[in-house]
Amino acid sequence: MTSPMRLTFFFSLFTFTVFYVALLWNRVRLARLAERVEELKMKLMAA
Amino acid sequence: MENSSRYLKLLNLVTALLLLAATAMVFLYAPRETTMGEVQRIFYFHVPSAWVGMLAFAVTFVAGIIYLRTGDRKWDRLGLSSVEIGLVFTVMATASGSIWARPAWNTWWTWDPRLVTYTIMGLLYVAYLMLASPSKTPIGSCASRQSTPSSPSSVYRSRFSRSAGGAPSTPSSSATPPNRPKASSP
Repeated sequence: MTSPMRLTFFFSLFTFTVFYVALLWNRVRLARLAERVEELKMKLMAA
Repeated sequence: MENSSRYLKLLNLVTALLLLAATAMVFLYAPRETTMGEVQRIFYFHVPSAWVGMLAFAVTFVAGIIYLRTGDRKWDRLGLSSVEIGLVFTVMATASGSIWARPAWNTWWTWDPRLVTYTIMGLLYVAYLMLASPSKTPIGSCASRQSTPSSPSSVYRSRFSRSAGGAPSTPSSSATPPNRPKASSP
């Protein structure tokens, strides 16, 4: 494995890790919002 | 909430730029590998995908344990979100590995211990999703605790049993070991 290949490999590894963090953050936020909507629906139905 | 939304937007932008830069590096900066040629470039996507798959399942494992101990729903949310992402990357790693195997091993799939255990790991997390999504019970977290030991073992098992079910070799690649050619190993 040459030096540019190694650099590309580790850069790609780092990029995918950041990509995972971004996806996870977005997904958790979406799940939290979905739960909030469910809660509000329940409140509305109870009222 | 407002602040976190701003950070998230920034992270999304940075991620998009990093992905563009990584793609440019893979196709424009990294040299052509001498033994395998252009198909070797798939490793720059295949290995990180497999790594993210494992990382996601490790996060699910930790989140599952914390959820079982504390009962706080946010950990269950984190575990479920992580397993969804992990599954996507596991499928990506399996598919890209298969695309690489066709020219390198002359077959799309072989019953190599690493491939089989990695697929079993993916199926275990499909089971996690099926258990966790509709029921809203801690069954999913229990499943993640049962499934996670298969993640590292799917890689290391093949290190110890390399000869078992080795991949078929083509005349052009018969000089290299069946599991991973020397020139491409990171």
